[in-house]
Amino acid sequence: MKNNDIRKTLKQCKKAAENGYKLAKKQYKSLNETMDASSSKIEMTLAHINSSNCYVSEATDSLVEQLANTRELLGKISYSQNEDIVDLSEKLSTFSITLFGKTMAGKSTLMETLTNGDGASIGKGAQRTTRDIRTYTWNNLEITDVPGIGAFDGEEDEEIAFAAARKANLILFLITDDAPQAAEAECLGRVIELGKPVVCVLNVKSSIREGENSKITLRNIEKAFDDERLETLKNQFMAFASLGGEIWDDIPVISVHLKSAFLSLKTENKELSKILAEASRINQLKARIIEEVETHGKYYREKNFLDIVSISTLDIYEKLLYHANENRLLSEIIKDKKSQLDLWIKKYKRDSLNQVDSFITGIEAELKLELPAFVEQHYDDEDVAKAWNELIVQKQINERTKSLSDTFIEHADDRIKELARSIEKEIQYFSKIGIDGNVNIPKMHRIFDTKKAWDWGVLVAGGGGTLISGILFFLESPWAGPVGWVALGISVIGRFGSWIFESRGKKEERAKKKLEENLVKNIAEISEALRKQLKSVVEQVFKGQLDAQSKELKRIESLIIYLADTQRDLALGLQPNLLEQSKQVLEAALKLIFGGRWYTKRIERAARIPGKLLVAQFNENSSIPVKKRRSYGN
Amino acid sequence: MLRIAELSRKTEDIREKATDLIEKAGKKLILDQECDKPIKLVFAGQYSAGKSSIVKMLTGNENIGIGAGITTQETHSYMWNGIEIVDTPGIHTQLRPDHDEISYQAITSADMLVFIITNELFDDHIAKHFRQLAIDKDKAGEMLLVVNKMERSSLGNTKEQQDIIREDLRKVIEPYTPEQLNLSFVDANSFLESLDEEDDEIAEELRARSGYDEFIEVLNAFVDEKQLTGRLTTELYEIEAQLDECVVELQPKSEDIDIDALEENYLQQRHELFESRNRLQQEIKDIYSKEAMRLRSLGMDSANLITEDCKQDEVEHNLELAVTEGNEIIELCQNRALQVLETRMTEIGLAIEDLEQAEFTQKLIGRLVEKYDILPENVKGMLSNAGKVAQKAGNVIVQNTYKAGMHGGLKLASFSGGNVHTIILKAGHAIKFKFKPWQAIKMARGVAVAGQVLGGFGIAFDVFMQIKEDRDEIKMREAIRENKQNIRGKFSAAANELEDYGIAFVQDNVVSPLDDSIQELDTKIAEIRNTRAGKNELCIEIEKLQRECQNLIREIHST
Amino acid sequence: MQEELVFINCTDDRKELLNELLASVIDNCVADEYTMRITLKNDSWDTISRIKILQQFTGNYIEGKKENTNA
Repeated sequence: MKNNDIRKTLKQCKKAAENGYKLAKKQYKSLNETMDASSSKIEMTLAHINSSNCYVSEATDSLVEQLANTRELLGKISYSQNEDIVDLSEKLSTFSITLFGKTMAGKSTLMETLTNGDGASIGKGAQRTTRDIRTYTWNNLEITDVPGIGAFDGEEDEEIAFAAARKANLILFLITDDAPQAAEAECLGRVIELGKPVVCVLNVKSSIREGENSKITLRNIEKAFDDERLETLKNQFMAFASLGGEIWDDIPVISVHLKSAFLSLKTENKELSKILAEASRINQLKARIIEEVETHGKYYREKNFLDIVSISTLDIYEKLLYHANENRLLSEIIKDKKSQLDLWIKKYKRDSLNQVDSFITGIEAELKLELPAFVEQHYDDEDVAKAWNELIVQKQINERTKSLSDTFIEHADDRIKELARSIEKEIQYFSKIGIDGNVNIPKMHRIFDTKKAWDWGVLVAGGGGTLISGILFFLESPWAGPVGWVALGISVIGRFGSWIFESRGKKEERAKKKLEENLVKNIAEISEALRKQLKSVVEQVFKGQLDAQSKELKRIESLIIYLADTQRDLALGLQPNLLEQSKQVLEAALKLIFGGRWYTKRIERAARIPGKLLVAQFNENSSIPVKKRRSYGN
Repeated sequence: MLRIAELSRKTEDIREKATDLIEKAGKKLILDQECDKPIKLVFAGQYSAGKSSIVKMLTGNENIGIGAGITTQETHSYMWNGIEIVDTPGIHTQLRPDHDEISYQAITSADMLVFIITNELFDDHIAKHFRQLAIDKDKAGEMLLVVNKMERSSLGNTKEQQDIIREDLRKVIEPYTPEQLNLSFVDANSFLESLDEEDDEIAEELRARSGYDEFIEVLNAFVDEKQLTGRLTTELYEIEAQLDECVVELQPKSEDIDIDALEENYLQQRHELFESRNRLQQEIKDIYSKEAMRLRSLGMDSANLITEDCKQDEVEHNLELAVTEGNEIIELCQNRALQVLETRMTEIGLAIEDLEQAEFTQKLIGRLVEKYDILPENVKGMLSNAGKVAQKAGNVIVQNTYKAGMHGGLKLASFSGGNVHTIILKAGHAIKFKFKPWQAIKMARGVAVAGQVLGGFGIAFDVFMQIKEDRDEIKMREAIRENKQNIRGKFSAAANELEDYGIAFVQDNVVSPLDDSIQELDTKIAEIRNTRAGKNELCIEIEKLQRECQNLIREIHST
Repeated sequence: MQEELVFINCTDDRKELLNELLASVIDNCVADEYTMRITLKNDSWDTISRIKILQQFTGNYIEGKKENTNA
C-alpha cells in the first residue's frame, strides 16, 4: 500500500499549509489595513455629507445609507475571513476532502465504503438523509460528508454544504447516472468559483440484490459501465457548463459503482468480495484521490489559505467597480436634468415678470378708461368712494390677481412633477440597458454571508425610488401663499371747496377734475400694491421652490459623484492587495510546475479569477522561457 | 347652426365622458376655474326690438316668452350647448331707468354682445345708449349690431332696404363702420313661422326673407375672428392632459425597453413644446393687449384735448401728433411681436436640442441605430420622419431622414433651428398683408384711422364754434362730450383691430407651427401605444376618448 | 486544476493589456477615465474571466456587451 508515501506527502502538505497560513495572515493584515483606511475614508465622506448642507432630504439619507452599508460590509468581510483563517489554522495537519452531491447520490455509501462502516447512514430512498456535517478519516485524509444539494426547499442545507466546502482542499463531486440536473451543475459552478479543485465521481447505480447470482450481479454492473453510455452522460452534464460560459472538460470524471464497492466489504464470501470490488472500480477512485494528493496536495494546501482572503476581496472589488460605474451614469442623468430645469427656470422668471407687467398695465388701463364715465356720473355724489369701490369689486381685480398668482404656482408645480416623472423613467431605462447584454455583471449570490440581500451601493436597482421621493420632497412642503390681499379702493375722497365766484359750469369742471385726480392716484396705488404682491409671489416660487430644487439637484449630483468616487477609490485601494494575493498564488503554482527554479521576480504583476484563470504579466524586456499558454497540472 | 354652439356641445360631451372614465381610473377630473367660465353670449338692445325672438331663432328654445305684451323684467341667463345665453331686458328710454342698470351689469363680461334694434324704433336715446355702450364702455370690440323686424320696412328684408338703413346708421355709429360692427339684417318672425309652415315652397321663401343664414355666417365669422373657440381648446387641452396621465399609468410595457424609452423621449419633447407654446401664446397676446391699451389711453388723452377753451388749430395739431404716435405704437407692437416670436422660437429650438443631446437620448439613439434592422416597420417609419414640418404656405419641409447605415446619424427631435427660420420668414412676410380690406385711408403699414379723425373734426368744430358763440352751456357740454367720444372711439377702433390682428398673428405663427410638431409627436406616441398588447378595457377606452379630444382640437384649429 | 495559467507580455498600459487578453474577441472599445466599454464580436468560453482579469489589472470597470442584443 502507499500509506507511507502518502504520510510523507502529507507532511510536506503540512509545511505548505503552514506557509500558506503565514502568507494568508500577512495578506489578511495588509487587507485589514486597507479596509481600515477605507473605513476612514467612508467616515470622512459621511462627515462631509452631513456637514455640507443644512438641508437633509430623503435622497441624501439614501446616499448616506449606501456608504454606511459599505463600511459595515467591509467589517463583515474582515471578520469572516479571520474566522476562516483561524478555523483552518487549527487543522494544519489535516488534508480535508469534502463530498458534494445531491441527496441519494451516494455520498453516504462512499463514506461507509471508505470507513468500512455498518451502512447505517445509507439512505434507502428518503430525501435529505444527511442533515449535518459528518467527518471521518480515510488513509489519513479527512473526509467530510455534507447535506445534499439541490433538494426542494433545501437552501439551508446548501449553505451548510458550501460553508464546509470553503475549508476543503479537494472536492469530490458526486453525480449519478440519472439525468443530470441544472441545480447540480449550478452548485458545481459555485464550488469552482471558490477556487476548489474538483474530482467528479460518477456513481453508476444499478441495483444489486444481496444473495443473487453473482453472474447476474456482474453482468448488471458491467452493463452500467458501458462506455458510450457513460460518455453521453458525462457530456450531458458538462453541457451545463456552457450555460455559465464555462468549460469543464478538464475536470476528471471517475466512474464507480459504489453500492457494489460497499457490498464487497460486507460480504463474507471472499471470492465474491474480490469480484465485487473489482467490478465496482473503487480502487481506481482511491488511486485517483491519492494521486491528487501526491501531485498537487502541497499546492492545494497553500492555495486554500490564500483563497480565503482572495475570493471575498475579489468579490467586493468587482462590486465596487460595478456600482461606481452605475452611479456615475446616474449622475449624468441628474446633471442633464438640472441643466434642463435651469433653462426652464430662467424662462419662467422672465415670462412671469413680463406677465405681471402686462397684467398690471392692463388693469391700470382698464380702470383709467372707466374714469370719464365714472367722473361724469359721480362728481357730485356724496358716496363717491363707495361707488368707486363697487366698481373695483365689479372688476374682480382681487380674484383676477389671485388667479394669476395661482397660475404661477401651478406652472412651477407642474414642472417639478414633470421633472420627477422623467427622472424616474430615465433611471429605469438606464438601469435596464446597463444590464442588457452586459456579460460583466457581478453575481448577486453570497460568497460568505448568506442571509442578507445585497442592497448597498446601488441607487439604480430599485429604480431610484428613494431618490425620486427625495426630489418630490419639495412638492410636499406646505406652500404658504401670499399673506393677504391688499384692500383696494379708497376710503374717502376729499370734498371740494366752493368757488363762489366761478360759474356753475366751472365749478363742475373743477370738481370733476379733482375727482379724476384722486382716482388716478388711487389707481396708481392699486397697481403698485398689486405689482408688489405678484412680484413677491414670483420671487417666492422662484426662491422657495424652483431655485431650491435646482440647487438640490446639484447637491444630489455631487453626492452621487462623491459616492461613485468613494466606491472607486475603495476598489483601487483593494487592487494592490488583490494583485499581491494573485502573485502569491502564482508563485505557489509555479513552484508546483517548475519546482522552485523559477524566478518570480521577472513577473510584473499577476491577476487571478479563482478556479478559472491566472494571468501572469511580464515585462517587455524579460524573456518568457515557456510557451505562452499552458494548462498545468494534468 | 352656430358653429361655436356645435363645438361647445361636443366639448361638453367629451368633458362628461372624461369625468366618467377618469373616475373609473381612480382619479378625478380637475379643471381650472378658467374652464368653468362658459362663453357668454349677451343679447341687448331696444325694448320690444324682438330680442327674445332672435334668441329663440338661434337657440330653438321654447321657453322664451315672446310677444308685445310680455316683457322680460329681469336678465335671464341659461345654458345652451355649453354656452351661456343672457337675455337682458330692453333698454328703455324714459320709463325704466333701473332696467338699464341691470343690462349694463350683464354686459360687462360678454364675449359676444348682440345689440338689437329695429328700423322703426331707432331714436336719439337709443343712439346715445348705443354709443355709451360701444365707446364709453368700450364694448364695440364684442358687438354685433342687428336690425330686426326687417319685413316691417317698406321694401322688406332686401338689399335695397338694407343699403338705405345702413347709410342711415352710419352717422350714429361713427367712428365705427357698419362692417366693424358686423351689421346684420334679420326678421326673426319669418324664420319662426317658416318652421311651422307646411308648404315647403313658402317655408323656403320665409326662411330666405328672415336673413337667418347670413346672420349665422356673420356670427360664425365673428367667433373665428375673436378666437372664442380658444376657450374651448383650453378646456380640451386640459382634459386631454389628464386623460393622458391616466393612459400613462394604465399603459402596459412594450416588450422592447427601447421602444418604451422612445415613447418617453417623445413625451418629454411634447411636454416642452406644449408648455412653450402656451407661454409664447400668452406672451405675444400680452404684447398686443398692452399696446392696444396704450392706444386706448392715447385716445383718452387725446379726447381730453377738447375743453371749453380749446383752440381748433391747437387741437388739430395735437391730434395729428397723437395719430402719428398711434401709428408708431402699432408699428412698434408688430416689430416687438416679431422679435419676441423669433427669440422664443429659437429658445424652443434650443430646448429641444438640449433634450436631444442629453445622455438619455444619446444612449437611446445609439441603441436604436444598432438594432435598426430588427425594429418593427412602424417604428422605423417614425424614425425616418423625425423633424418633418410642413408649413401651410410655401411648402417648406425640413426633413431628417434616417436610413440604416447612413452618416449623419439619427435624430429624434421634432423641432429644430431650421423650423424657426422658416416660421420667422413667413411671419415677417405676412405682416405686410394682414389688414382688413375696408380700410379707406392707410397711415402706414398698419391699421388706419387718421384721415377719418381729422376729417370728422372739421365739421364738429364748426358747430362747436357756433355753440360757443351762442353761449349755450348745455349744448356746449353736449358737443364736448360728443367730440370726446368721437376721438376716443377712433382710437378704440384701432385698438380693437390691433388686438384682432394679434389674435390672428398668434394663431398663424405660434399655435399652428408648434401644433404641427405637437401633432406629429402625438401621432407617434399613439402609434407606439397602439402596438402594445395586453391593454385593459379602460385603457383602450381612455385612449379612444383622448383621440376624440385631439381630433376636436384639430377641428377647432382648422378654421 | 481547471484554473488555466496564461502568460502575457506587455506594459501596464491598458490598451496593451486589452489586446493581449481579448484581441480575438473584441470588436470595438470606447474608454474614458473610469471605464472601458467593449463590444464583443463573438466570445469564447473564458471571455468573462479575461474581462475580469483586465478589470483587476486596470482598476477600470469593464463593460462587455455582445453585438446586436435584443432587449
